[in-house]
Amino acid sequence: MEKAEIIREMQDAVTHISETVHRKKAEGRKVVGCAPIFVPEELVIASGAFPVGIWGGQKVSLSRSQEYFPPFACSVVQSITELSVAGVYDEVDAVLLTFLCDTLKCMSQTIQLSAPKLRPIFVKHPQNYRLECAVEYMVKELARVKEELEEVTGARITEEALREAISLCNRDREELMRFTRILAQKPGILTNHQRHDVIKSRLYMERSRHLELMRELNGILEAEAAPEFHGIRLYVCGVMLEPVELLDILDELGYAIVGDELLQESRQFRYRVPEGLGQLERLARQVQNIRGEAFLYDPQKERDDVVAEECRACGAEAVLFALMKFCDTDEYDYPWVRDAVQAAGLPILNLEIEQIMQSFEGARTRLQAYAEQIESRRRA
Amino acid sequence: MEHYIGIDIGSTATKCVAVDKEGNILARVVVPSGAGTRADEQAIGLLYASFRGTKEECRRTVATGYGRMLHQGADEQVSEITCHAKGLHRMLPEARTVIDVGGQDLKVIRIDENGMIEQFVMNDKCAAGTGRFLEVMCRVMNLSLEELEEYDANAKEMCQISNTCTVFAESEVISKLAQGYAREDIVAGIHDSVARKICGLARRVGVKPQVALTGGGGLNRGLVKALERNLGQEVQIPEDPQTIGALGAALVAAK
Repeated sequence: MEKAEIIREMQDAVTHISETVHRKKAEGRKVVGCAPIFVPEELVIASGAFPVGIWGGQKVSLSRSQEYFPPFACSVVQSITELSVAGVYDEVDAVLLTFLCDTLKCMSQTIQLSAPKLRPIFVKHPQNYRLECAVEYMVKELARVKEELEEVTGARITEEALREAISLCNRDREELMRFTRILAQKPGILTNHQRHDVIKSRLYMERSRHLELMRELNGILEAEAAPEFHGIRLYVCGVMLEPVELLDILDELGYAIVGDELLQESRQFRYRVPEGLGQLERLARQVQNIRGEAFLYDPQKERDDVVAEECRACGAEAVLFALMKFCDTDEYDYPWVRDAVQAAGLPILNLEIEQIMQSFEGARTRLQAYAEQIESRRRA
Repeated sequence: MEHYIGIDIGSTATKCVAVDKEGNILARVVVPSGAGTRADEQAIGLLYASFRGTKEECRRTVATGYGRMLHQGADEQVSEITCHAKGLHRMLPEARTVIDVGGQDLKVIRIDENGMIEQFVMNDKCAAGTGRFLEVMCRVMNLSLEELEEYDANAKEMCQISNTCTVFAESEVISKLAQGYAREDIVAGIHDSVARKICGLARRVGVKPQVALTGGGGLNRGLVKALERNLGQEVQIPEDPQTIGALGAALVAAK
């Protein structure tokens, strides 16, 4: 396949989610939603169901969600709620939900009212997740999730099927890591919008197909010469960088994302599931290995160190903290990350965004001013 | 005469400045209409009527402000943050913190001794702390923006007004008026509310002296006094503060 064809297939997956779900249902497949964040999608794949990302919608106009949330709730959860009331998830058989922030905790309750037909399957992560007893707990929790998924899908999730699903997801994670490394080495080889679509499409495609496309795309990108690039090598922090108009503005202004720790992007795949004997234990240990994660209890506040290390590794010259409005988790972490980034000699811009934002002029002004600031630093 | 033009198309006013190659100001005008109103054409027309230059002698035009993408005659569009920093550095080279109170924007920019931006922060969608906030309050009190300074000067006891939200503050002002508070004291409270909002934003990037105020807000002595009180330091006002962004754009054009 040609590069453009591969990207088009991935972009189609991202923009035609309802059609994909409808097709899967027509084929007799069960569909299980994977809400933010850190849900064991391997269990869904092992059950034979189609996992579909539940990450809200861009530029959704909020109305019914306000029956369940105050206006100062995170727009991702609000747009999920709005879409759930509108019946967008009616064909989804169940949804995996976590409780890793206050607003998600609320949604675990409200979604049962806003979408009464949608079956929630809760995944409760341990608070002190680094302790050995947390793994023991998480194995039991995952065993319960497995049982519930078996009930929904009518399939038994065998150790072998789960081992294969873990292997598939790990290979896909490795290809995604390879992809982000290539883009850091060859900034400008794809647009920021394309980078986002390639990464995001994993949430809306058969994982085996995504893996095939990733391998082919990475091969093509590795073989291509690096384009001449004089723009700004940018590292992005936050929950997500949507609506995509923000990515288009970054493209217009000559930024190239060379690394990220976005929850919807690299934080979804930067930790492989480790080797081990029991498959549930392997999934539990993946969580235990996570370092510097804003949504997990981190008394050492390692996120700032992780960001600084990653900026160095990908050669970033500037950092964008895309702060999701009303995301307390990121609000608390921002000063730590800012200080670490500045100590590493890099500038940082705090850009407040909303998944539902409709107007981009303010964001354009900030991003343009930031680009001008970086350019003048270079000249100096 | 060879010259360079900077045009700052804001949300409520359009400002235009012409400079020579050395950056000396040749002319400047302010038109009280903003983006989407063709005020840019009017401002350019008025500018040429105010100095001995012709359009043919213009070497370069830089547009800035909210409507910068709409101006047809621009050679380049530069953000208002960069332009305010450049313009202010030219007028007050000792200033390190620039506060720009515009029609619907509030910006705080920290600059170094060379006028380079160190950090900046802008208000989000909320109009609290901007010129729009003052306009809304003026409407409620049946005053013009120009009268605010005089009313503030005659205040005896400042009222407390919220700075969380323009709509909340508007209700508070209506309530204070109904309770019989003097408009002078309410105006002083409104200025204090705006100043507290500005200070909150400014402290996010750190306030380094000297502090300077640009934009339409710089024309209001009542606001300046409230800002000085809340910041605990003197606030410098450049000559013609409303045109600083346009001056910065003209300096970029002349560079």
